[in-house]
Amino acid sequence: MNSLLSIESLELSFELYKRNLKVLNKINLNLFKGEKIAVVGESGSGKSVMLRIILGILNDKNALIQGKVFFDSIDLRTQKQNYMKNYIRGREISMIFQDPMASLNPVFTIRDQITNVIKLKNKNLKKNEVEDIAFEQLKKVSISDVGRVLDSYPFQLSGGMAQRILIIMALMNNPKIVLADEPSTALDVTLQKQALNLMNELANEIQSAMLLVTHNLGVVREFAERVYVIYRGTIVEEGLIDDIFNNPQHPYTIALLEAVPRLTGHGLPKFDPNPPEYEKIKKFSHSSLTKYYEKHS
Amino acid sequence: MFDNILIFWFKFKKNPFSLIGLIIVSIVILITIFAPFITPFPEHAGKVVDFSNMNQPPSNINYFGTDTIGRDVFSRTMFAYRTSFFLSLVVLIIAVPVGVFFGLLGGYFSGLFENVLMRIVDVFLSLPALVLAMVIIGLTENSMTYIMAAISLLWWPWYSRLVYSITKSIKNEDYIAAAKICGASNFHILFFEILPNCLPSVLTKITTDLAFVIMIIAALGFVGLGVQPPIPDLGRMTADGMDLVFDSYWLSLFPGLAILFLVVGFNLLGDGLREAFDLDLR
Amino acid sequence: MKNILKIKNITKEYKIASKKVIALNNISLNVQIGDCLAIVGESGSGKTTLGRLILGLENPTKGTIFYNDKNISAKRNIQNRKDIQVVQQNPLTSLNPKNKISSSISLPLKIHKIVKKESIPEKVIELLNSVGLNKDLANSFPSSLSGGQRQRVAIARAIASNPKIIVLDEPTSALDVLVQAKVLKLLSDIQKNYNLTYLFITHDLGVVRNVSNRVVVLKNGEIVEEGETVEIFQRPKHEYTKNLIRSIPVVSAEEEKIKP
Repeated sequence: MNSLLSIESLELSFELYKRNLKVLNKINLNLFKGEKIAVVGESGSGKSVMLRIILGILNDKNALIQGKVFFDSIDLRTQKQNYMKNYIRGREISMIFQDPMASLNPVFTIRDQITNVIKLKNKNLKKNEVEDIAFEQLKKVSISDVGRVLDSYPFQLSGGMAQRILIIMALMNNPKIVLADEPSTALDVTLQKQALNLMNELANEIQSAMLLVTHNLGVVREFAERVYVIYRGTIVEEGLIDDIFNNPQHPYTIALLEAVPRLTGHGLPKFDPNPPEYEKIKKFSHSSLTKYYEKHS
Repeated sequence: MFDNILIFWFKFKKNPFSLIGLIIVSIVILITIFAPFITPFPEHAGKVVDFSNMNQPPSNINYFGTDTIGRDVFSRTMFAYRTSFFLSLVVLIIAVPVGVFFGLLGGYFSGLFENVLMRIVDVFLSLPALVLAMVIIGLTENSMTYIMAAISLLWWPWYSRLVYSITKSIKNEDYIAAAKICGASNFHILFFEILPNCLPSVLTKITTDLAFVIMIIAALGFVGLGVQPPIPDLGRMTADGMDLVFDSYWLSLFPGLAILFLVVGFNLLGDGLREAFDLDLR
Repeated sequence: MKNILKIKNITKEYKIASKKVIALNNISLNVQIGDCLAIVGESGSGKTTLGRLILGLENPTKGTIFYNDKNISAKRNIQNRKDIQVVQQNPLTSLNPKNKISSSISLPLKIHKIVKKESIPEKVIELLNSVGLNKDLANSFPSSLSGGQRQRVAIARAIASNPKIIVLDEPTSALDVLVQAKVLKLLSDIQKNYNLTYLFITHDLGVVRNVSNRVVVLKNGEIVEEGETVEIFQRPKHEYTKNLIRSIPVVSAEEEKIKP
């Protein structure tokens, strides 16, 4: 299979007081060039920590990781931090985090922070060349007073503006993959729509693949082509967007969909007071995936 | 509840230095309690002279040697621990409640009250403890009571500032608002909602402060103020031995080491407590 | 139907760095007994400020709040405190981390003398059971509970004083969707069993559509639209309301179709 990113049998556990906590359980995941996929699950499912493992930024002394993460046929898990820092992060693979205000350094101006990102690709650019690139990028996302924004500190910007800047910074260096960890959860619903549209547009432009991690099924439906459903560290269902939403098969996926309050006013969302152990029920892969994978190979 | 204690201990003992600190402090406390029983010459802490035995170097009988009037340095050092520890405790028993009280009030009630209170605290914080203690003792009397009063007076503002900043940072938290909405009185909120959140920091500070106060008392003793003979005091003993340090090194060395031992122990313990508490706040 | 709460011409201004910020601008609205009134808006709409004013955490700059026709805008007495309670958004900060669950729940019991001192432990267990929690949790600390469990404790605390009104400030926004479903059902049952009036502050229109009977839409401190829930969703009038509904990412094609 010719996938851009291929996670094979990824396992993660944490050494805690008196026991080991298993967080990821033999995760297998593929991402093809230019594809937009979503990994949907609730908190504690391990979805966010999986992204950190891909980039090698999981800083926990108690973490035990096994498995492989192939990017363009190189196992990132075996690479040194230097390689990850200089070649992968911010260049080949970038990440958009959840809270825009927490992702920007409060003591540096936007100009400083964008400059850092620009210089990742080309250390030798002169000051005015960097400024030109920064201007161009911000103008592209219809930020009107670019000069003022560049001069500002993060606290002077609104949440929506900050998120737009983060999205630009993530896509500026034409990464092959953009990882997004709940990128719109901290935003109002109208801003959320704008942010997702922006991500879509920019990613399409540069043919970047996107891996979106979220708990919001609505966002998944509007954004992704293919979905992985994860429960407590185990992938329980995989399918194309229509299959997942029109024909969910795994009891957990079905439970998730039933629990979403509907705009059509069907009353309080339903739930099972005695749910089965979802992770013990076998994973379901929709049949349409076979053709889909063939197409992408 | 018991589980929480176990988890705290698990985190605490991860750092070997914290354990060393705990051991040292435990030894010091045991010495303080059992001094009369574990020292070979307990009476040497009082009015005793034995010129036949003066200036003896460390031996099997006198582990730390004897001083210029024949008293056993080891016994006196152990009793000196008692004195220092006792003085330090009294200072903190006075300073901590006063400091915490004002810190809570200053942090919770904003406006004029807060400003006046914290400016008073600022004044006290700007005065150097040792110098002021010397002045107060110099102006009044060279007795234990005045020493403790002087140092307490200087110590409470540090607790005020600590508790003030914690109070200010949590007074707008949801659970405080929830308590107000329930109808809780300010008294309840200050002492039953906010104070429990200050305790970890206060306890940690008390641990390191015990050592600090003992050092100040020793410094005072070193310059001749504070504890008067024949009551043994680590600072005094160190000072008295300075003149003879080349001939009778043991007179200064052992009391000095005793101070070092105690201070290092308390500091390590304090650091360890702070680490273990911090992780708890997750 | 009687108006349990009347909010008349409320304005709330703040001075931030010598600039005047108007959080609420001349708001008026009425709440009837038994309502579940949804207060909807994005950040900066003033919905949180409105909640804080109703809860008596702050006083309005102008205007009056009437509870059962009595003016409560200035100071709250103990009876008012008893009658108006809160369930807050963040389960991580709504309970004092240093106090046991039983302390948090028994606080209103003690203040309002709901039961005799000896009966407090029993009452705490009764309250825990009514929110679907095991009595063993009474002696735990918040750090050993999950987000959903903590929210239930917050609900138990809110009903402990036998209140008449509960202000729910984004009570399920920080919860996973399955946990949210359970907590919403719990809130609905409790409203029925205890004859409560709810003020449900949220930005989640999907929740609003299914829990509330009336909606008020706030934008920049002003009411742009209000009415019965069904009306607002089927025939929204104001452009802002329409835009809000359009922006919701929905999970089914039929919901997509009913968007304005």
